[in-house]
Amino acid sequence: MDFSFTEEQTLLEESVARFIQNDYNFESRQKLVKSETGFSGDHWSTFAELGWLGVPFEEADGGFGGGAVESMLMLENFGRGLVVEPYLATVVLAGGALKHGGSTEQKARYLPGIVDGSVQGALAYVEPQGRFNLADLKTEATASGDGYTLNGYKAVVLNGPSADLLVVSARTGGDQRDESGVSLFLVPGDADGVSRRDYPTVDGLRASEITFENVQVGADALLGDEGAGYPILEQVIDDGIMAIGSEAVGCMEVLYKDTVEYCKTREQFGQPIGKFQVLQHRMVDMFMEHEQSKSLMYMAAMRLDEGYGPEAQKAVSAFKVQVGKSGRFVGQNAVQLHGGMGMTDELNIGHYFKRLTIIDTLFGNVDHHLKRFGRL
Amino acid sequence: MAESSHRQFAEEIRAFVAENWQEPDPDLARWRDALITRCWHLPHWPQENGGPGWSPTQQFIWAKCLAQAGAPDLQTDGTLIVGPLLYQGMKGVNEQPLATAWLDELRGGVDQWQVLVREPDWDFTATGLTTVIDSSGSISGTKLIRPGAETKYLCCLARKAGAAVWALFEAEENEVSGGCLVLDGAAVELEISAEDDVARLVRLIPEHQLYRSFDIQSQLQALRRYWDTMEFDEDEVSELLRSHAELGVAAEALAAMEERYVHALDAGLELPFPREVLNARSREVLIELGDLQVRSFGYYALPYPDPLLTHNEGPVGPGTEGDIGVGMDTDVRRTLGRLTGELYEDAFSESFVLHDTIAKDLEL
Repeated sequence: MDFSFTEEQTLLEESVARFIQNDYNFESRQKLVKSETGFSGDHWSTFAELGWLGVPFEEADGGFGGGAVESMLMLENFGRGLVVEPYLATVVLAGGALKHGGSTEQKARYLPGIVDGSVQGALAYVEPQGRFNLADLKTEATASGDGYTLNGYKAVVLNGPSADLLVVSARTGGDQRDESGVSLFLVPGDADGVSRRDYPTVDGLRASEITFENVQVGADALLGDEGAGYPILEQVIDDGIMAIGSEAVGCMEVLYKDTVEYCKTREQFGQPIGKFQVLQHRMVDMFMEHEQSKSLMYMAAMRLDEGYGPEAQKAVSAFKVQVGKSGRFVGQNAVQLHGGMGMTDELNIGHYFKRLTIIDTLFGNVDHHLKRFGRL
Repeated sequence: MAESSHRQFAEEIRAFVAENWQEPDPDLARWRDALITRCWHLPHWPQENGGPGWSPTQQFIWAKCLAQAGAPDLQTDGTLIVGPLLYQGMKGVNEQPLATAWLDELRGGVDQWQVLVREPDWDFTATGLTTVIDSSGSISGTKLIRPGAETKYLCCLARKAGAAVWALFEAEENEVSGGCLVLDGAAVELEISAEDDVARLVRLIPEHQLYRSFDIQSQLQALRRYWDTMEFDEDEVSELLRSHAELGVAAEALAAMEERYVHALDAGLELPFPREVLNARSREVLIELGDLQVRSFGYYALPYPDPLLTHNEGPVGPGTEGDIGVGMDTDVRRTLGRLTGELYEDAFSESFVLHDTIAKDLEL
């Protein structure tokens, strides 16, 4: 593998790192979490001005033409800052569905709004009974007139409260768990028949439970071919894993560094606790867990950029397993070494741990991806 | 080195392996001769000392190609440790006839060295070494020795006038008893200064010996093939399959770490982590692999814990009908040793030393 970055990639990485360092401290982030929307509109505009919202899209669609490596570089820094702006939901998931499955007309209609920050999106694909099976759908889309009628229920739709555009998975054929017969639809967030129950998640983001009751959409709302939405969804979710996994690597780095710093200053029995060998060894283990995750992050990003297929899927699942295990280890030990204050709201440690815990569950946990890795 | 050059190098190595290591009945003598002819039995030696002068990436590719083909690299204590000690430690006095002769022997494939570091009840510190060289150049003490190996020369870590020293001498007239070698005034022929920090001695392991992920992956594949042939009950192996997948991920992570490390070495960049991290992780994964092998072989694992076995003679060992090509004599035995307490202290101490070294490097 060639781990060298291009000049453009390096500039992008530096620009995001600078923003996180200068404009995204823990205190201001906590204020955003408590605000009504849960994020900053000003930051979102900045993301658009700096071109970050267009990074994964083709230049012809107004984007930067970036791939998994660019996503990795950005999201690792987002992880360091615990960024709450809905980049994942809007750009990676909803935008990703358009990128992988959208027609020229659909891209022309929606992507410019995503890139300039005026349109926010969400991917509504989880159903309560489905666990991590993307094909397990009770939501149905039936042909009616020139278009479709959607009925069903979607759970934990990230950024649901702010989404102008919903990408919804629904069954147009086959049985409840068949991969064929899954279709994707573009549904306006305020369409008739769409009702939401919004709530904050454990890690400070926003999500919704969304009910679709006789929601009418036109034929032009179908993303890709009818019944052939599963491969698109799978690719989008793998892009999502790449993104949140990179975020987790950034979170782990902060937890490791802050823990080392704390152990060097906190004194007990007349010396810094970091002098105790047993604690040093724990920090070494935290470091190694982080480095394993980071190495798999590079490998997964490069495999994805080489082309989407079983090799890339396997690398992504390996990465997700590692991030799940390492995230828990690093988070738990950071809390342990900080003592009780590690779980208080005043200290950042517990917030990173919460984000890592959510990341483990999002898009399939360790068990799910171990099984997928073994199968591929 | 450009990507295309790496590909070309890998193709050259694969062609060499295919020509000289022919499955299913490879000729070990032919393989050995082919390596020695090209000096590829010294993959980490610089060109000026008679090696191929390969870059870290080339050494990495070499290790990968051999592991994938199941071909042995024929590394020994002599080529791994003694040779580098001689050409590094004897700088400026290379004319020393003895050092030159020993280096020539190693280059020519004559190698009967054994490196002795550990001692009974040793605390893994340089000051804790009890083997000493006196002012007349005689060495005395007790060292743990690998049984069964043909040994002509010894390279012992000892103390002399308060400093750590490598003592090199012929291995005659010494007494071996219960895995220990008692040295009683043997005459040291050559002394080379050693690092006083024993934790750093692990750095003697050359780069390419650090890269174990390919070997681990090969063993995991062999294990799956073995399970397929045994037609185990599905319920019986479901836990094994999960452990197998977990180890597969661990091996992928190790491979990715190795590649990052090698890339940084080759590009002259700051290393992403201390090299002991690779050593520590590969040890941990190998112990887990051994554990999985023991669990999956069931009763078949039991013939192997005898430390005096230099070759596996059980029903699934190399050369048997059930040969599954896994590291029975290293990993399985080691795990069994750990499980039964025989080697537990050893494994624990090694891990402890590596963690200490990494902590120092990270300035914790």
